[in-house]
Amino acid sequence: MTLARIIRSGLSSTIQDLGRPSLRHFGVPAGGAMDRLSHELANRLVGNAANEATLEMTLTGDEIQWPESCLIAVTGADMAPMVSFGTHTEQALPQHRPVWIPAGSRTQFGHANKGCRCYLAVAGGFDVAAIMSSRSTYLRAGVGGLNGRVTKGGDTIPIGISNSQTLPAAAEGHQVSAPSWFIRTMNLPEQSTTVLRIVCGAHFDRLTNESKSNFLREPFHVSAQSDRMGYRMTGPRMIVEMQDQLESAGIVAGTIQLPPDGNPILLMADCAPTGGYHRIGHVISADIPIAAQLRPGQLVSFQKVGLTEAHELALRQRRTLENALRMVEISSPSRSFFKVSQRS
Amino acid sequence: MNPDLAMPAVIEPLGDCAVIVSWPGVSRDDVAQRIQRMARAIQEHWHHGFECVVPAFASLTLHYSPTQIQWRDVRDFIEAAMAIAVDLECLERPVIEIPTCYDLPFALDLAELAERHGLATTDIIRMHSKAVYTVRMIGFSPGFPYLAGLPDRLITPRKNSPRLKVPAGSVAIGGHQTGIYSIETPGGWNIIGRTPTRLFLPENDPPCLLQAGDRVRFVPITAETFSELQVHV
Repeated sequence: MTLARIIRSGLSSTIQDLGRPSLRHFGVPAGGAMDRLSHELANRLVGNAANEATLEMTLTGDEIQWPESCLIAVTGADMAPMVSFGTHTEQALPQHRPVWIPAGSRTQFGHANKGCRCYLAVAGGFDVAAIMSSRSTYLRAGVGGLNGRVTKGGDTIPIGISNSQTLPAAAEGHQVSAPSWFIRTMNLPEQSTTVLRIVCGAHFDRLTNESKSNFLREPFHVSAQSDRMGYRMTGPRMIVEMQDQLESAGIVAGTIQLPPDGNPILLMADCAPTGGYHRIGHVISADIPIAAQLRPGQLVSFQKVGLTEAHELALRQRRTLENALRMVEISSPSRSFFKVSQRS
Repeated sequence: MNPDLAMPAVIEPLGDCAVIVSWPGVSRDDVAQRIQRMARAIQEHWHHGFECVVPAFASLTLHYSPTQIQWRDVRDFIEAAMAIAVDLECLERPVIEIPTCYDLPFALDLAELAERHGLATTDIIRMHSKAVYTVRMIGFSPGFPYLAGLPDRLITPRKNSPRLKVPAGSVAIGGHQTGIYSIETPGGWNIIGRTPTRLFLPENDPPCLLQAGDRVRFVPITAETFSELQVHV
């Protein structure tokens, strides 16, 4: 069986796919990759379906050994990955494109110098057992992925059989090969303030006028208390005019909740399906991938858009990804993408 | 006039990929029935762009994929489902029995509760296990049921400072509700017993013992029975 071996684990790396969106009524978080766009791109670059499992590495990545030759792709945060094999010297591992690595390769992911979460896909996907119809790691309940936990040194992760015929004959030599083209889906957040677009939440109107204008104008810090469940934000304190107890109701990744302390929480992939705090806004679907790439300490500001625009942006993002993939004809097995690289 | 028309539902977007349906002004029990019927109506006429229907205390959330269904169609669908829901019957579910040991070391707060309410611990156990509860929603953690139907005399506010770890299976009272901690989590409810029955079963389909609308009764068991049942899990 083909597998990948973790030599050194990253800070908090987990196996993720598209999660369990249909089990929310059982109190199970939707979960899945935080940055779905990068996750899906990594998969599609190696000929996988969007829902195959990838490795999501956070801030610092893993060192991984590959006993068999593999087709891999790296997307999302830039962890300056390196690859080496045999006696060959280490070389930079090209990102945002499919890369053929020979048997015995080692890949090393360092500290993210931009972005927060890096996705590693392999043709065939990481084939850990599915639980509750997903391979995603759900850390809080300790289920899914690698026994419900982050990677650790010594782990072996099985690799599935790839159905795709993108593996080119030209790449079977003992060298790392990759095309010269690449697909980048977004600009990773910079040190300056990142704008996240939101639609207003049901309780936005309960904010005082001052809080309303602060919420849509002032920057907020992503605090150190931020993880896959959500980001605690600090900034101008948000004040609700009428504090009353709310009934617990549905929430979703992107929801900005306001607990009584006045510091908003941006809910992310592993958030519970229900919550009882005021919902003052929702980061739009198209901007959740950017939010997933924010690091503690970074600044964000919220910009209001309408629901129709939010839906259009979601559709446009999907079309852009499909068009980019079509351009490089990854879906066409007869044209080896490595020919592109040979031409250049 | 049909009461459903007299108190129309409010349809409110929850971000750009979910929508909340609620019935302001409708009584608690009545709203629970409407949520149940509405959830059934949606499930029976499922659209491939939908992800999940999540019942809560006073509302229902429908999650959808904005790249697979248009907002206008989501709205139309909900309005159609509402019309269908009016004619649906509310199914009476069988009562699921939850064996519960009300002894120490499980019943961490039972003595305190007895003192607070001026009752004997045996009275609390009798009252708690006599009632038939309805699952209003599953939430907080996977498989955690919020149960309505707690006798008034047992209503107890949450503890001032939550415990950092509440063992899985703990049966507890929080405000006017009772519930069961499905996995080990922090928690502020008053713990009066523990069940050996597992509520979160990730390897099963469905992954939880209970769902919204189910009825539940607690059956007192001894510590010996507790150990026996636990072994057989």
